[in-house]
Amino acid sequence: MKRPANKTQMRHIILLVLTVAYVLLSFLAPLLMPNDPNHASLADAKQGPSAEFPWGTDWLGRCVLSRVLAGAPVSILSALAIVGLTLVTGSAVGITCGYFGGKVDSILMRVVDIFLAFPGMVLALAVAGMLGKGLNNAVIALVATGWPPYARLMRGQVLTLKEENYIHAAKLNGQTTVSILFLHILPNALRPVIVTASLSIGGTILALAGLSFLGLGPQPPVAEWGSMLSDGRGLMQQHPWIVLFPGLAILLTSILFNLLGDSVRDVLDPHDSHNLFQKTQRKRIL
Amino acid sequence: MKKSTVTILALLLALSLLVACGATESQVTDDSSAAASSETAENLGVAEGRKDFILGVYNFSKLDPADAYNGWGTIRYGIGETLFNLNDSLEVVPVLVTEVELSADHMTWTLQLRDDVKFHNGKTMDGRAVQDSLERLVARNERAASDLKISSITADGYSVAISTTDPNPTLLNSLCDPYACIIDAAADDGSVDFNQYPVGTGPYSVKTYVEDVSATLEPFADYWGGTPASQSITVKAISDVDTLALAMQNGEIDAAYGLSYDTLDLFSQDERFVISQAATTRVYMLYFNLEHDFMSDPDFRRAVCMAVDKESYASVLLNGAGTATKSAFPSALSYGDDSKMTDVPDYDPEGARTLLAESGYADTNGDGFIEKAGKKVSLRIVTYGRTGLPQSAQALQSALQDIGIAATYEQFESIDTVLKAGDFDICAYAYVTTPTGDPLSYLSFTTGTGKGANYGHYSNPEVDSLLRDLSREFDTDKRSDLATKIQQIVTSDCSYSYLFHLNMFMVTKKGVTGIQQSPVDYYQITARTALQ
Repeated sequence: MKRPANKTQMRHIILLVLTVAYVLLSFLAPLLMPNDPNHASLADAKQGPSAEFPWGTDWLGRCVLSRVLAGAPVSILSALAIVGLTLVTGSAVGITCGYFGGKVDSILMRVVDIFLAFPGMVLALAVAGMLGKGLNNAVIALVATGWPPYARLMRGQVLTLKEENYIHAAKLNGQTTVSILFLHILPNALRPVIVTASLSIGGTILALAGLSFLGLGPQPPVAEWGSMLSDGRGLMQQHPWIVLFPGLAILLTSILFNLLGDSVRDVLDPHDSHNLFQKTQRKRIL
Repeated sequence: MKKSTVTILALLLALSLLVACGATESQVTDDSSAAASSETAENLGVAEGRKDFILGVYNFSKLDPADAYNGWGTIRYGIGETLFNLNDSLEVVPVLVTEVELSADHMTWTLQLRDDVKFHNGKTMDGRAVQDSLERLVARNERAASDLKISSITADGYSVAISTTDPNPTLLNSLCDPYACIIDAAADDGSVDFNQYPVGTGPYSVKTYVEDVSATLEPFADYWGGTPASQSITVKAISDVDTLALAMQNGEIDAAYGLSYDTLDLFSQDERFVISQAATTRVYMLYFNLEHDFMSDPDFRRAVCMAVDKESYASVLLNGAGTATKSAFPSALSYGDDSKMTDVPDYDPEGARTLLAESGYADTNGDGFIEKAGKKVSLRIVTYGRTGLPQSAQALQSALQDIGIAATYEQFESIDTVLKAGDFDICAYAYVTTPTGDPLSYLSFTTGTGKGANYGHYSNPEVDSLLRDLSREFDTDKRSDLATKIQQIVTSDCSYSYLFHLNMFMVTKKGVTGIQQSPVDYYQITARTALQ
């Protein structure tokens, strides 16, 4: 029974290393660019891959490889920021609702219900449309529409945890609410939230690329994978490399983050466990 | 591992959805033919199952000719006609008229109408009907009123006498403008919306109109020019130009207007299609907001103009479908002679840098962008979606960056509100400069003080006075000289910049007759349009 757990952990470690390396690489990407990603040269427009432009050039004569690299930090860091912000916001609302209950709980949970009643992407489109174009607004739109699932999840966790004996003990001990929340409840409630967050990074990268494909993301000349796809789709038949490489970048990145999300879940939610605590914990999650 | 395989498949699906995003629009009104065509993309025979002719257009129009530019749709779709047409050399030729007479004082035009023209509702088009139509137009359309300068109209049988407030040498040209499409004004009694179901005299009438989606047209049996060739015509809105190209490729539509220039290569290499091209008078130009900081400086504007590589824009961005220009009018016209535009700078980025430095612009803080008197130069470039404009504007943004000018770029669905609010520094804009075969309307509308399309707020008493002269001059050579002079003045201090003229093109299936790209961009469907 021990081997599968090891296998899961091995896989997790490999993926984690890969992902960390990938994120670091995306930080360094601007240093690896062979050309200025925003330099247009109409004489070089729509050229196929060559030594000077390894992935060819787009309709304005800009180096596709350099633009894909330049787009890496934009896409990946924004996605991480979105997931981080939704996690924090959602968790804060969830803890408040779960621990204090009462009217605050009812009102906030109805708000959550309203948000969850709409398809996320449609809502994000509407918010981004209202805020206007730009990367910051796209991030705000995705955060504003992405927090409710975390709030609901966190609230459920807190509701069960706050009846635990050790919480009662802490209260009797005279600990302040803040320290109870942060020292006792949060660490124990965080696990399923982390799993959800790590599973959603891949989707967030796609959502961001989707918004920017529709023109609501970063504005030209900023390189972003979604808008590169959108710009180049008219040339897809004649000059496929203009969309192929940004498309592959989106594909690979979201696959990597999804696999990582899967393995985070497997590790934090082990199928075999000799540990009574983990077993009970798992039941609660489910 | 199974789980990750599923993940990969799901991602692939999601990605393909993302890529296909732009392709969803055409599906909105889809009928069975679209489903069939996807299976037999190679075989255009799918069209044989249909009796109707389908025209795909990227800019589907409303149809009340008196409203804004909606008349373009009325004329293009063969629903209405004007009293006169422009031929391929942009000369006025009579259509619904047999004789024209101008009074000795140049103030009254008497038109003799054809007596066999009927409206779609069966009513005969007589002098009274033309009078009502034109009076309705002038009351509703400011541009028409200022072009036509009509003081009164009288009708007598099949004759109409139009008197003008001033001698108006371009009256007949203006009557070719789509706004002057003759409709049965009496039928506009509130029972139908003329923007959807106008009553005209053209070979086709509107059977069903779905806003922003499509119009189905049926042949008008009593058409004066003979029985129309098609049993039914559908004009379909496909606003995404890539979708439009795909619809054409897989045989879903029989003709396409407004395709991207990049697709020229695709269709010219494909035997199933015919490309018809024509040089038009549509000019791609730059509006400069002359009231904003920096843009109000003639030297700065000159530097901006020197950064623009017009030749490359025309050959690369438009895939060769453009001709670089210095003048607002194509060189085929006497008032479009580039050699007379001596003050228009050539492409010279080095010169632009020097000029900026000499005029006190310098990068003092080392951020790569210039400042003047401690204020960073930052321009806002705006444009809209017409093919070639976003490309030109982004190329301009990049070119400006190369000479040290920071600029943002934004594309709008509808640019007019932005322009009217003055919320821009540079706007890339496409304008049909001689819609009626005469330079006056364009020059007056864009360069006359306070005029409707003078978005840069250009104001010059000398130009205003020349425009007045132009509006009264009947001699063709003198008109040409005046038009040239006005362009020389507005380009001398780079208040306007003209980039290139456009060759429009239309792609049709082989075997389609009676529809082709006209140099006058508003003639499309005719009585002979059909799929053989």
